[in-house]
Amino acid sequence: MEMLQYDFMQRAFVAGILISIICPVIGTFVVLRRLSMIGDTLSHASLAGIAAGMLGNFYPIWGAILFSVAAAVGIEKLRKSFPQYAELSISIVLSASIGLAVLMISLADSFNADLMSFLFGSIIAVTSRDIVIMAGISIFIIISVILLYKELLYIAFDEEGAALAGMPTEGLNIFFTVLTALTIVAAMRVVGILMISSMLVIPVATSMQISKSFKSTMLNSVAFGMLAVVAGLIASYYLNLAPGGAIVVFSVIILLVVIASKKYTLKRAA
Amino acid sequence: MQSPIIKAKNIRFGYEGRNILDGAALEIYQGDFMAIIGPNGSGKSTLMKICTGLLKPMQGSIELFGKDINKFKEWGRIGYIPQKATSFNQGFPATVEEVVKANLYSRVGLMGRINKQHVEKVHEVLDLVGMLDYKDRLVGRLSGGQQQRVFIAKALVSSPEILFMDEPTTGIDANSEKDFYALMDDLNKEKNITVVMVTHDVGAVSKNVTRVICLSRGKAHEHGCGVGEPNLNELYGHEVAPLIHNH
Repeated sequence: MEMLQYDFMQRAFVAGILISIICPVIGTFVVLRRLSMIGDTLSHASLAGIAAGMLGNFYPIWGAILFSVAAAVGIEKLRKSFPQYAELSISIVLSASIGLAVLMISLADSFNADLMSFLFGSIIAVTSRDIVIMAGISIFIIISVILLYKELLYIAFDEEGAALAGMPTEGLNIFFTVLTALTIVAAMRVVGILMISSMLVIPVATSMQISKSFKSTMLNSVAFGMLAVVAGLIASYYLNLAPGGAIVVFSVIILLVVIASKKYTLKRAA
Repeated sequence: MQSPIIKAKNIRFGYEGRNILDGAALEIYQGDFMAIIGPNGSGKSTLMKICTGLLKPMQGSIELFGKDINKFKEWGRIGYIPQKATSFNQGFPATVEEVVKANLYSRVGLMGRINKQHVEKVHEVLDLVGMLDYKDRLVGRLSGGQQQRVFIAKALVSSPEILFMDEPTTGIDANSEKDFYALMDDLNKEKNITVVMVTHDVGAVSKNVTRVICLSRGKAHEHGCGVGEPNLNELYGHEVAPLIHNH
């Protein structure tokens, strides 16, 4: 393939493949715990971190990691103050993150092309340094999920039962939210801050239409995510589109095709 | 004399200044098949949650298997099926086997690997509750009675010595209820598992259990001994079917 002759496209594909694994893997737990809004919240916290990096003149990804992890811990801590309204802590941190991001962007006077690439994703902006960090984060996330698979599944299904079994649910919840924050930081370069949440949610929603177990839900969502990322990157190269938008549009198309096929199959079987 | 496996003393618990439990005490012995009854809001579920460590009392002490609850670590010895066990997210895409496997945590610990023997144990408990043939089915697609059996298997996979159940027969049909009591009787008599359940089903209780605890006005009363026995009609505030003990 001609496009793979270019270094930037090779990097974009490596980054895309990593994203298409970690986003649906973490997204499976996010969706099943009914925390779909958390993706938006943590991505806006990352934006504040990026603006902080631009303001402080340091590598923006470090700022994104710092701010999104802090927001993740903040969500879990705030959740205790509103035990009956878990989603309220997410909304509060979302509002605070947007406020902080806007404030820092205006202070840094950094509403420029670089910031736009973080917002909408870019295939030419992915550097070798970004790839190394993304690979490190992805390996950490995948190993964590493999080691804590049964714990995360139990908490997603029945948190009270998990606590009774002696599981340190509070610590695991914080750790999982931190994993979500890291996933968002890893994905934002290619997909863009404004669209990361959809990468966490749409492949999983698609997979849930056809999967017959938790494990197959996770594996199928990775397959759907990968398909959308590869199609999105190719379209973005040939049609000069923002990769984030192209990937999300392909994710939605795949979802609609799967829903339509399922309906058709059920209709024929009836 | 046999010492209790669960001992709760002088338990006080309340919400917003109102005490639900006020000096309640409970002793559960190995081999008991116990029902905890009482009107809505009398603190039955609360007492059960306190005994399983899910709620902390404002006052009082709890001993589990001779150890203070704060020092107790062997949570696999206790099985608990909550009131809303079957009102989980019915769209959750987990199979029966995956749900039961999840509770292997108390056997394998944090980050512990599930091996072939553990899987055999999962199959054994599913067989015991008659759900082995359904192991690859999505749990949300089963009937209420079948889901309840899966949750019993999930509790049993950690080989508990005592099984707490909060209103286990709510929402299941008469046949499933009959099967449920037969299974509980088997677990209690054949597997020597102590069974404690919160229920409103006074009629079924009278036929099946060996001890009845009535909760009223924040305290627990043993029923059936005939001495100082509280009046059920008075406890519930309306007429209830009398208990007939055949044991």
